[in-house]
Amino acid sequence: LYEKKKDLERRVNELRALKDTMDPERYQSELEKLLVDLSLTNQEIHKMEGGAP
Amino acid sequence: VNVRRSGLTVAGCMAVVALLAQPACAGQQGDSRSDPYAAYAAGDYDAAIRGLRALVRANPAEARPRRTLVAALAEVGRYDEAEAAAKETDSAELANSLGEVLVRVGRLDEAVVAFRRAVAGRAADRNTARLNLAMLDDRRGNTEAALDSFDTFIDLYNGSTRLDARDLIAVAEAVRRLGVRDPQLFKDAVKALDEAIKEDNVTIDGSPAGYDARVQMGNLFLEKFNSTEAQPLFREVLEKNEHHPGALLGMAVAKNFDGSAESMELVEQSLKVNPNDVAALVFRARLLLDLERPADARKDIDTALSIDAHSLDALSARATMEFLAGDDAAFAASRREILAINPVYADLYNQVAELAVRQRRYAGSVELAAQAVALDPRSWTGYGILGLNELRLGEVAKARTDLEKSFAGDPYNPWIKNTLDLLDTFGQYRIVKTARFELMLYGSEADLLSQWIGPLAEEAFDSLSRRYHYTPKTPVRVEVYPRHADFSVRTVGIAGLGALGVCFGNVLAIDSPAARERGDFNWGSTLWHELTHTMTLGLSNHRVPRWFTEGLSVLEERRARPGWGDDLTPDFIAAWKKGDILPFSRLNEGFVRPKYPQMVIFSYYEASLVSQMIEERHGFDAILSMLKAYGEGKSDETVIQDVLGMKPAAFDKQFEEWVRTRFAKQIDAVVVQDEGLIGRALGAVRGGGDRAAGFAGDLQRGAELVKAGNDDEARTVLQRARDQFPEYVGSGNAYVQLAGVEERAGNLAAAVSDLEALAAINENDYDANLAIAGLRERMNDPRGAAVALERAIYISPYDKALHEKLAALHAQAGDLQGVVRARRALVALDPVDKADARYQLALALFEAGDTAGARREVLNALEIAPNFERAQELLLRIRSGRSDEAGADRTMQETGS
Repeated sequence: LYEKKKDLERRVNELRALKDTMDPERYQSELEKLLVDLSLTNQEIHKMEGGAP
Repeated sequence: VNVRRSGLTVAGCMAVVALLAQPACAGQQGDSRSDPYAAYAAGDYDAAIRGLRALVRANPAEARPRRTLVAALAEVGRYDEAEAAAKETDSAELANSLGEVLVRVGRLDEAVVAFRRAVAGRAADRNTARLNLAMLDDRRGNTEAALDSFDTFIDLYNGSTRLDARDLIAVAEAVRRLGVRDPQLFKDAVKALDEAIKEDNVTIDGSPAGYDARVQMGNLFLEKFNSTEAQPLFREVLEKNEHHPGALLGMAVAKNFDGSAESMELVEQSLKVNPNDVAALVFRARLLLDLERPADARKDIDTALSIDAHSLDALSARATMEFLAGDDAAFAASRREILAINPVYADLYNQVAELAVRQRRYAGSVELAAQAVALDPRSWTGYGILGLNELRLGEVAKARTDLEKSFAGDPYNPWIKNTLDLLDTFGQYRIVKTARFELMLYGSEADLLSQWIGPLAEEAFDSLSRRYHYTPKTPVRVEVYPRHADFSVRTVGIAGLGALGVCFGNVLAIDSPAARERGDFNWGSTLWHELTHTMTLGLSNHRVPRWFTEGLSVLEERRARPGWGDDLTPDFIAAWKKGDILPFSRLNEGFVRPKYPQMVIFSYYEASLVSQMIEERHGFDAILSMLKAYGEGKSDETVIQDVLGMKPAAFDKQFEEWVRTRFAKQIDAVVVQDEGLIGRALGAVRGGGDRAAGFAGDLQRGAELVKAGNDDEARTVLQRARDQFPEYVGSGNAYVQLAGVEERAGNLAAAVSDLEALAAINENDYDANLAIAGLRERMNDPRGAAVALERAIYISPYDKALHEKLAALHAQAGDLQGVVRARRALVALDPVDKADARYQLALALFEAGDTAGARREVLNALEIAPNFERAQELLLRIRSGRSDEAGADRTMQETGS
């Protein structure tokens, strides 16, 4: 999960770097997808670590 | 290639600054009691004329005394005698003088004959006669021939080793007029006049050369919008000859340029010396038209035309009056008459257009200026008027094109230059659209201001449309400037305008709250005020007089919110008691030519009272009828008679009685002191000075009692002060002191009541609103506290702590939209923790049921801080609430990409 989280963070950074070159709607949609995945991954990490979701 | 295009080639142009340091007109003064030339130079015209007549009798063949006699007679408007004196001899030496007298009375054909005789006879002033012939060509529209003749004066200058002052003045006038082809030549005109002024110790016949050169140079500076350099030149002439009509007129024009009321007095002094000076009569007529006194202006124009029936200036002034009165047939006839004299006289349209602007007829001025440039493609003034007024109508692209043409032809006009510079900044603004408005907001404050400006503008539009039964054309454009200098340039072309807002009809411009210190003004009431103008200008076809449109705008401010709009002040009452408040029938003067700095503010308030009285006594329908009647071109006198059924003098009396009755208590309370009531009262409050009388005395005693800790007695005294003049909300007012007394006594409700009363009068008291909010919060009244803080936003919306507090208060009061507004403001105010501000906004939107907005904002927060856990949780909550929609989004992406 940590690896996945790290990978998602890297992809968010890469996407942000491309923001000015992309169609805004497509950017927004890809960003949302990545952020949702990242949020879900964090949630799972918290669960497995026994913390609050 | 004509190398002369570079203009005059003789070196040695003297800097004007250095020139002005020289003693004025030195060296030509003799004893005016015995020397008629000296008497003429000193402005003792009667003595000069008597003495010169004697000299002429003694030496009938000598040209100099006769030319001087003709000049002196002409200067005081005794044209018949001047003509007779010039005609007593056949000498060519008097022909130019005769021609100049004939030009003054409009006998142009005879003048041409006289000038030609001076040239053919090689008279000493033949070059002036040549110039006069070229000027007559110009006046008749033979522009190219005239310009070619003016061009020969460059040869005269460049080909002569030394020219006398008279010829240098002729050269200057010629190259000034050539400036229409090449604006750099204006500098050469200044150079030639510099040299003429250096000849100060000589005279042109009896007239010191320096007088004419200085007046001409002053006029040149005024033509190039430089009153600062013009005035010392006129002043120097007046120091030697206080009656010099040309210098008095020049100074009058300069003072008018500066917006000073002295202008009228100066032109009247000039007309006292020469009551038949057409230029001065026309100038006074224009001042009177500015004051919206057309009947008086008409008298001057008629007098001017009785002296010179062909004066293009006087005919244009008459055409202006006809245009402003909506008399299309008369205007068309005047236009035909003018164009028959000079078929390319674009200034006809320019002059009408400029006055139309001053009376708020912007669309009309665009049509007129368009005709000016169609008639004369070198009318740089015309392009300037066209561009500035297209901008006032919101036609930005067209405006830029025309302003650039104007600037290329005449780069000396600061209005045009400043406006072009301002247009270059328009890229820094954002257009925010609402249902009926197009808001032009500065980029960094657009998100913040649009939240309040948009809804307020829409509310005002609905409210005012209902009341005035009028729906303006939409969109209405509102430009909001964070720098006052930019607002000022947008409004009048130069920095320094004192106003807060302006309305051109369907385009408004206002200062943003960032443009001034907090507490200086209320931008909400300003917007409401300007939008009222949109109604009253529209309803009256832009013909409503200044007093009425301003009066109604202030009245509507007062109706819009408690506290908005001007209120009674002790200063106003003091001015009233001293007779410094204008009667209604002269109220426009208070706006256009205020006699003291506060007169404008007093005039706004007085106009609002007049409007209020009309509404109270005759009903609001009477106001609508008046606006309609003004729209039909009727005068104040006719409108007051037709709608209110009385003469202006009776109306003046009625208004005075109304004020006396309504404000009897306040009139009694104010004791007029020479040194100024408020200054005295405040001095007293601060502990200095004598004990002031009236309510000011009670304020002083109240403050002393508070300081001594005697709150109970202070309460009684301060309440008495408050009741004597409830509208006084300035420094040291009773309300703030009473609130302090009540708060210390634990009477929070009473303290709030005092401060609410203050806020209901003073629209700018930011601190009072914050204090109310604090007290109401302590009283467990979050809704009331929020209302006070929302009121403060119309004074200044930039305090983050205020919006944080508002968000909390709205949340407590259950006002979810209020929370959203406050959170949006915090995002717009460039917070340090941007991710958190966005998250808080997303949360507020989610709780207010705006899932799409919440999703957008939470993504904005996570874009900044992807691992912001609370934002991640919110995103997942939002997603879980709309899983079907999200699924649909995914399907579309999958099939579409």
